[in-house]
Amino acid sequence: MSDTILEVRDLRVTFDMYQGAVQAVRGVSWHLNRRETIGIVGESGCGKSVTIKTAIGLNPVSSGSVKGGEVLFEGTDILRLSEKERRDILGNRMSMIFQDPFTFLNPTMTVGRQIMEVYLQHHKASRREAREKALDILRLISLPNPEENLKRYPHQLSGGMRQRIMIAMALICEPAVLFADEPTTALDVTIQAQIVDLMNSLKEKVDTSIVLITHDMGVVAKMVDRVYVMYAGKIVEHGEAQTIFHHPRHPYTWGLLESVPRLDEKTQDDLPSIPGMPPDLIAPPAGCPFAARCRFCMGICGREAPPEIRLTDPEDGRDHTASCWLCHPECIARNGKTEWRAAHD
Amino acid sequence: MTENKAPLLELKNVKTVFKVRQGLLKAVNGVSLSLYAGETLGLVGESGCGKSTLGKTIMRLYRPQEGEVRFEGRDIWQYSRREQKAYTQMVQMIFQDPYASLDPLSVIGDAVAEGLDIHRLAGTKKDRENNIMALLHDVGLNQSHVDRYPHEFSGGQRQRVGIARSLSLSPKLIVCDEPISALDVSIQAKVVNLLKKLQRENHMAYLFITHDLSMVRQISDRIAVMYLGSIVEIAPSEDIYSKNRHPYTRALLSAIPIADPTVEKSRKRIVLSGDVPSPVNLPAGCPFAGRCPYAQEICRTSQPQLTEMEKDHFVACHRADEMALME
Amino acid sequence: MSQLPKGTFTDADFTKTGAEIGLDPASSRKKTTYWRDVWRNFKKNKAAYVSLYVILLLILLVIFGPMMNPFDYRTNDYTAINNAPNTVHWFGTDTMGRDIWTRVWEGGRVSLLIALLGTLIPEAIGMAIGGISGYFGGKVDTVIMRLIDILMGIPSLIYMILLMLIFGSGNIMTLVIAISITGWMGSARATRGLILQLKGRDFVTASRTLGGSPSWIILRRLIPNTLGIRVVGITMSIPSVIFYEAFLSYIGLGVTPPMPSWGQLIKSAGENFRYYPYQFIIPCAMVGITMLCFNLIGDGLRDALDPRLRT
Repeated sequence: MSDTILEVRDLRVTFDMYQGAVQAVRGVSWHLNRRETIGIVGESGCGKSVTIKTAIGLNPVSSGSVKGGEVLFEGTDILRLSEKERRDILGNRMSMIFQDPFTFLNPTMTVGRQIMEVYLQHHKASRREAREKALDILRLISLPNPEENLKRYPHQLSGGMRQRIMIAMALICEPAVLFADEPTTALDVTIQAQIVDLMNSLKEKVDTSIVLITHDMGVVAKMVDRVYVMYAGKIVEHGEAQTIFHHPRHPYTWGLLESVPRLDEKTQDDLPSIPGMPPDLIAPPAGCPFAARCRFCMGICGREAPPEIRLTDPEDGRDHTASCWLCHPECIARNGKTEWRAAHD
Repeated sequence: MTENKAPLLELKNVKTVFKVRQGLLKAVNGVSLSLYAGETLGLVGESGCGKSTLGKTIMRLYRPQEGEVRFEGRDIWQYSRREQKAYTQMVQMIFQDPYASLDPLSVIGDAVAEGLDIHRLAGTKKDRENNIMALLHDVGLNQSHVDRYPHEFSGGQRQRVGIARSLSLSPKLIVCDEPISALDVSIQAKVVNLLKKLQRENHMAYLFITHDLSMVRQISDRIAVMYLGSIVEIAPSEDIYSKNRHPYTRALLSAIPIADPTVEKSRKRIVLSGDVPSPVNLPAGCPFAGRCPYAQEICRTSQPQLTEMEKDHFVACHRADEMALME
Repeated sequence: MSQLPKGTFTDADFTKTGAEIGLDPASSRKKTTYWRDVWRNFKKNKAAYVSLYVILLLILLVIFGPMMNPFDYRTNDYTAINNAPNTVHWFGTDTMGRDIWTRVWEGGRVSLLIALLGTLIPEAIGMAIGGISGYFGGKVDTVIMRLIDILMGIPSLIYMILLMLIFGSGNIMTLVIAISITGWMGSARATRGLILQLKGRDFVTASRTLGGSPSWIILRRLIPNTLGIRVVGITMSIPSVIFYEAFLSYIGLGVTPPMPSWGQLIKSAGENFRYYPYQFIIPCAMVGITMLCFNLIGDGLRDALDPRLRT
């Protein structure tokens, strides 16, 4: 695994609230390889954003909310770095783009200055060099009239342009890892398509790996190499994008994929949806967190949390894991390849 | 379904204009359409195309500068005071942001009953209580939550509260302004299913405003596509997907990613360059000409009118005939 | 698959039972209301929490203090002039032999009453006018706001002196009216600003589409939602009214002797400060403590009400 650039191991994050401690992330592990895009998908509240914020060091161990685990970036544990060391990495070696660019841009500064400042914070360079660099990066992301646009203020730009500026700010230091938290959710579909194309092309132009968080399975299908499906603070399934879309094994993934209407398919009377709601993470259930909503729930599911089970991928034999008792050999031995599994093969 | 029946709602060349510093912002620039009792019309477009303004014009929140909005044959701006009040019972709205659309200081029971209280429809306390309980039940909310505050609920649940509130006055038309776009996908499906169920039970019409062409298909009988204040194509729902003729409709459809990496890789797409131009200084000619890959000389000089190409299928494009042949 | 525990499973473990859709999370959590939440956050601020109890204690003393000894606030006792605090006269006596303990709490009644009325009355007026101005906007708004601009341009002391001339100086109501006439403008401006922000929110639009009349919307939706924020301003303006009262008394526009108020006490003791400092320090301390406590409470409230801090 020498190709791994970022690895999260058994991360646990808890937030204290009046009603009790919310276990937002309950033992999550994933890794990111060089020049790869991974997607972390799940509904809001599943802990995907918290995972990322912790991974870039916004919730360090000292804040008390991180209860365990490590985040290894090129071998060093980010969670245990000092404030200053962390700042050197953040924005420089790792950077992030957010859902709503408008709230992250300073309305009183030209976007050019804001892009340059990111660069100057991490490099000893003259303003002229920074400006050159900013222009380079704007050309790289094919922003029309870069010279002109550098002089504008955020409110003078459209939503799509602002998201491009955010991407430029994130990329100017040529980070090794780019985190994207719902980068297209706030954008219109035609602009979303432009941004997705842009981000796809960046992997080749800049030597960057991307961690994408989204709940839009369509964007995942377009951008991502590997998928982690998160539910109630845990990763419930992981595999190559092809595998997750064509041979999902976890009932939650089935539900997630079914509830997306597809343009290339006819309409149905009622859209399939997952009944119920995610469990309250103040008191997570003892067994499988999805058991209460699962059509295929069995005797053991409510009692014992399922282990992570390694599956052989029918297409290429690559990594594929699912935390579901249905995949357990004992279950298969007893029930065989049951109809509900066949339906999703 | 469009013949022989008087429309419930009829817009005739409606123009809603705002004064801004740079001039006049033509948010809605001459829209005519009809909506029939019990049907769902999807209104699709990108942000800034005027779809929400159109919804609010129908709600009587904005007064159009030109044109008429007729409800059951009467111009809503000619209403007497009493008619105005009656109109607020017959036409309701569901909002996009479930966090902003509920008063943080009202418990959900009071939020649901606001319409009843304003119009003094619940005679006794018991009546009011029964009404609230029935509404909460209809939208699938736990009745024991009646005295809880909105901040205790998830986005999907809050949206149900908003739906219950709009149902309380038994409206004939509900304007749904992006009711699902702030929700998670799996919750979106539930809300759409709920809206469909409620329509089957109560037979009201929906104007379903959204930017999401994949969800709107699940609920709409007809779909209108809007661009820069004008309707560019309006057709029965399935025709928009299979027999669309306007280049903008096509671009919109092809921009939506399909949740399947294999299909996605082999798909041919029209990627529009540039952004939507400002509605302040509208170009002469077709509003879409600047971004249209098929634009010709005529498109830049004269604005195409909505023309019926097939039964109930209207397109505003100079090249609509050729578009049918181009796939 | 070797890493799996070779547990002992029964057939029942792998028999389909189907989903048992539980109650949604909201029903299992402890119920919190907005104000309960605010109270919880408020308690976290120790200074504000203690201040609240200090103010409550002060209020109790102001009510019951004068009853706790046999003296009254205006009977002169020339056998006991300028006594230092002792077991009979707990705070001592003044130049006319009046018991300072009694006078301080009697004066506190006057000062706190003026502070309370002088804050709430202008706040209510300001809210009504600001609410109307903000909700209707347009010409109504312009006229009201320009009027406020003009009125604010005139120094408030001028009103004071004029009002004193008209109503006669020296009684509490005159002071309250005078303070109200000058005080409502700030609150009207603040309320208008908040209402302008709120009226574009969807829940207000929802009220309009449900047929709510302007008075319904202003009273049921807008004002309650501004209150939470205005409470801070209200709390913070109490000290300034107390100080203003003291100042007016000091320059001779306040309540007339023998009726005491904290300002009045400070004024008359000021002349003898060098000889009888306790006569001066005690009322000063009361004013100081009250102002400090209200400021700290306001501070705590601001933090507690800040929506960004709420989880």
